[in-house]
Amino acid sequence: MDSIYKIIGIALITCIATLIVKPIRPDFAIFLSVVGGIIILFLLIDYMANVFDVFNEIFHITNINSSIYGIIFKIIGVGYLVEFTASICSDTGNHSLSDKVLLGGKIIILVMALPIITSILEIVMDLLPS
Amino acid sequence: MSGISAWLLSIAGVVILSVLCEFILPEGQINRYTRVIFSFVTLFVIISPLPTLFGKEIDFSKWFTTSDTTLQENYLYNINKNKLNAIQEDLQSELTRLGINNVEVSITANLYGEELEILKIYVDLRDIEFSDNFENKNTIGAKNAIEEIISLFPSLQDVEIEYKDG
Amino acid sequence: MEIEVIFKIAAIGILTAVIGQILKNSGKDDIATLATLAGVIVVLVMVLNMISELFDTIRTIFNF
Repeated sequence: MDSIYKIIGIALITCIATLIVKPIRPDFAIFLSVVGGIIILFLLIDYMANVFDVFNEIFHITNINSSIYGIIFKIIGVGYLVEFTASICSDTGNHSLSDKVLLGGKIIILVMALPIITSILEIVMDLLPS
Repeated sequence: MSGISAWLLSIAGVVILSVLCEFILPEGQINRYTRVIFSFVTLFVIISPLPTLFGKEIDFSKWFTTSDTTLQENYLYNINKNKLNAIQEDLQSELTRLGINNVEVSITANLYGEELEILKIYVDLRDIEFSDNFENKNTIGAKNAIEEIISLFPSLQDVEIEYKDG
Repeated sequence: MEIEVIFKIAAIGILTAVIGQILKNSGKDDIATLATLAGVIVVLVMVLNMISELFDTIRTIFNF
C-alpha cells in the first residue's frame, strides 16, 4: 500500500523538477520526465511479479494446452516493452519513431500468434467431411 | 465426463486470463491488438478438444516451437529447488537445536520431474562439534540422532544416507 | 531511494547551465559548449543505465 504514496510522490516531484528546469535547459526537463517514469516502473515490478505468479497458477490449474503458455507470456512481455519504449520516444519528440516501434511490436506479436491461427484453421479443415 | 469438465475449466481459465491481461497491459494501440490475439487464443482453446471427439488426432507440435517446454521446465525446476532448500534448512536447524553443530547436510534430488524426487542424503561429519546439551558425544550417537530426525521428515523416508567420516 | 536520481539530474542540469553562462560571459564560448555537452553526456549515461536495468528486470520476469 505504501507504494502508491511513493508513486504519487515521485510523479509530483518529477513534475515540479521539470517546471524548474525547463526554462533553464529544456532538454534536461525531458530527461527528468523519462527518468521519473522509469523509477515508477521499477516500483511496480514487484507487483507485476506477483500477478505473473498468479497467472502461472491459473495456467497450471486449468490445464490449458501447454503450448499456449509461452506464447501468452511473450505477447504480454512484448506488449509492455513496446508500449514503454514508444512512450519514451514520443516524450522526446520523435512521434514517427514511436509509431515504428509500435508497428514492430504488432508484427512480432502477430508472428508469435500465427501458429494458433493456423492450427484453428487446420482443426476446422479436419472436421469438415473431406 | 471428466474430459468435458477439464475442457470447460480450460475455457474459464483462458477467459479469466484474457480479462486479467486487458487490465494489466497499458493503454494504447497494443491493448486493442492483444485483445484480437486473445480472442484467437480463446477460440483455439474452445475448438481444440473437438478432433478427439470426432476420433481424429491432431498433432500441434508441427507449428509450436519447442521453446515452450523449457519454460515449463524452468517453473517446475524452481519450485522443486525451493522445496529442496526448505527441507535442507529445516534439517540443519533441527540438528543445531539438538546440539550437533557444524554438520553439513546436502541432499541430491531429481529436480526435473513433476514431484521432487530425493535420491540421497550426504552428511558430512568431519567438522562435527557437540554443544553441551547433547549426550553421547561420539559419531554413533550423532548418527543415531541424525537418523531419528530424518525419519521425522515425511519426504525423506526410505532415502539412503551416506556419512562422510573423514 | 531512487528519488535521489531525479534531484541529481536536476542539480546537474542547473549547474551546467550556470557554469555555461559564467563561461560565456567571460568570453570562453567553446569551453562553455564543452561543459554543457559534458553535463548532457553524464546525465545520458545515468538514464541509459536505468533503462537497461529496467529492461533486464523485465526480461528476467518473463523468462520465468
